[in-house]
Amino acid sequence: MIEIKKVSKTYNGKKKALNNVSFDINDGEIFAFIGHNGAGKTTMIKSIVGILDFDSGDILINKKSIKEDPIACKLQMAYVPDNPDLYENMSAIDFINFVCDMYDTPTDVRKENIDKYAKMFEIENNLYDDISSFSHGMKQKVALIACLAHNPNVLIMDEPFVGLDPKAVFDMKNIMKEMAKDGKTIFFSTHILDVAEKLCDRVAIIKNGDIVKIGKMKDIKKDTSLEQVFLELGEK
Amino acid sequence: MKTYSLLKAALSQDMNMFKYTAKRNSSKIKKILFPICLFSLVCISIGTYAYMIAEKLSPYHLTYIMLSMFIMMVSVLTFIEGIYKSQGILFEAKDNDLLFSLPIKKSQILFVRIVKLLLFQYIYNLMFLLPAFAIFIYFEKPGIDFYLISLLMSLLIPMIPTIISSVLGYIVKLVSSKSKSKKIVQTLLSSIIFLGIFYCSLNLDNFVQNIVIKANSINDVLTRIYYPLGLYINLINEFKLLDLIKLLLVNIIPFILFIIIGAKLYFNIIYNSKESNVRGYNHKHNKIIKRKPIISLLNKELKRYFSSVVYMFNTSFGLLLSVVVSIFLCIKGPSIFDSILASYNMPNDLSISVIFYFFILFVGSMTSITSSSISLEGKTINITKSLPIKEELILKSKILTCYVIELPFMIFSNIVFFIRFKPDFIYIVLITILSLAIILLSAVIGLIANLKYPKMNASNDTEVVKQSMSSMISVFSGMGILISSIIIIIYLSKYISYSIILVMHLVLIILISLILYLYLMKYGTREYKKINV
Repeated sequence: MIEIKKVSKTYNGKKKALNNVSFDINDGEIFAFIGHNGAGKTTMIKSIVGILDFDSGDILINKKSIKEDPIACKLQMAYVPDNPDLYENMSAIDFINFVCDMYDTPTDVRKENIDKYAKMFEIENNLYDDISSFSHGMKQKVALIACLAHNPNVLIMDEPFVGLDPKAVFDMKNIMKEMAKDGKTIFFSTHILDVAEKLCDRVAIIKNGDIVKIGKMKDIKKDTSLEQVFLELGEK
Repeated sequence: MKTYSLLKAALSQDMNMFKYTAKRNSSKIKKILFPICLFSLVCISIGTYAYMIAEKLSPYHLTYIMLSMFIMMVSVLTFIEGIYKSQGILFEAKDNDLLFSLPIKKSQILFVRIVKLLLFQYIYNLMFLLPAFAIFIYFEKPGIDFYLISLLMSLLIPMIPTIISSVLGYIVKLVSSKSKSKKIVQTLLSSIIFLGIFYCSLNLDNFVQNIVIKANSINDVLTRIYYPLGLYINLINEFKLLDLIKLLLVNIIPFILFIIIGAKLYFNIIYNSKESNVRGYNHKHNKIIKRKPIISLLNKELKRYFSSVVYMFNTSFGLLLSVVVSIFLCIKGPSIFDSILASYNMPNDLSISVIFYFFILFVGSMTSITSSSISLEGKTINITKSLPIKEELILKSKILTCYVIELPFMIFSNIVFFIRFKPDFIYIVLITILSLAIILLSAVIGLIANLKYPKMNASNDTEVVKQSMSSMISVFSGMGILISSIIIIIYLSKYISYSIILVMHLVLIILISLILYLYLMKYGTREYKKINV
């Protein structure tokens, strides 16, 4: 479970990126975070995963504060960044192994998961190649496998579908559903409203650092589409 | 107009390292003040050195020889620096795809990148030339033409060395781009050039002697050593329009020719020099092994280090020198140190054990791997920061990397020295501890400097390794440690025996290293967390 409590973040003392943001994401829930470019999505995600300090408030991951006990929180989580900037000089397998080492993942668990997800994303034949030779989509697949290989309880993803081919998007959606079924928490930002609409249990819309709408998908869109809601909120 | 826009875009990114004025709070003022103090300190030291030389030459109206020495030194430094930098700045920029897709000429892109190379050289050169010019003015009180010609000369000085080093960079890249193992070939060729320069510098005396025998006057000597220098000295002694035109042409024509000819090959070299290992299905081998986080982090650091030719070469100068000197020591004996001491104007009555102590100090303090290691993480720092590991562990892995890279070279030098000179047991222990302590000290200084001045959005490795504030601070701090140590040790030797001074010095080095290490582990980790890319 993720609990976000009155989180605020200002850049250079001027630009307010997050303004007293509060919401919870429950276990077994798929939660989408939607907003325009520069609305504060990436700032929120970076704050949750502990790579960006926020000015006030707190974030709890399974009841543990990211400020007080970041290591315990990070051990629960996996993070896929908005741009797959991976270690270019490593091979894909070296990178995945590196991430698993940090999570102390047992060898048999990582072997099983790497095998499973590499086959699913159809990159089993490229695992031993340098990441620098990969396309954007392939890097994204490596980043996803590295996150899934250590069986995280909480999955945080910033634009996870960008660059993926349609089959990989389909597989990723299934993985997310499976994980949610197992009681794991999934939080991601996206611009693909269609995916959010079909996949998510709940959604939050952020605008200029404020949550302007949050709730169950059916309550938010009512008789219209998520796209229509999003556009209307953007115009206000 | 397009060239201007390109220049503006490229330089505005580079000049960020000097932009600390946007918001004046105490920490930002400290950030500006420290480099200014360091710059001033170097200028004062160089000025003192220039004064000492000029004082002796001035009564004979030969102060211009001091100026010539500094111009020559700056030209040689520009050339050596250029060999490191040109390959990175010209060929390994991240914005290659963007720039080559725009409707601009290749020559314009090449021109902008050469200007980038020159611009940073001007800043470096200023530290040497400014004090030298000031001392010359103090002694000779020249007329207005001196100021104008010297200003022009300051702009022209880096041109020829930069072009020569860029041509060498082109050749290295061109040859390596045709090979399968591009990085290995590039490293080998760069090593050959480096060793060639080292060999030439050892034979410099014979070369200068030959010129002196053939020359008619001092001006003639200077002209024969370096033609533009002779022209400049002629001009400040007696202004002739023809000499001025010659000075301009001799510098500008090679520059223009390089841009025109270089642009024709530029695109092909860049795109043929990209190397990625694609091993394919057949090369599959079982690499899924569980390791301790520190070992995994160390492995990551080492892979990053060995993936960048410019990073390796910039940090391995002292280490390579230690191997070369050790081999020479075996062949030639202690006479190798006599020539080194003579070139630094140091007393040659020092015992070999003291000289070797200074040498280890030199190798360790001049090798700063960590001053770039955080900046080189770039955006991947977000991966490391998101992992469930303490920041202390990340910083420790960077220190450990220095030991893994530097220690084998140090051990090799030490063993060669111990076998050749058979020192007593206490001295062996002293040198071994010094080797370990000086690696820690330079690693910690490098990390503190890099955490204070991170450059996370560089467009290539060279900008971080050669042109960042942290690498400059680390180099000058290393120089400061070395020079102050030598001065203090030699001064104290009048009152206390060398064996006691060296032990005291080592204790001091260990203490400083430990204090800085503790500071790094307490405050450095906070700085690391604050880095936001």
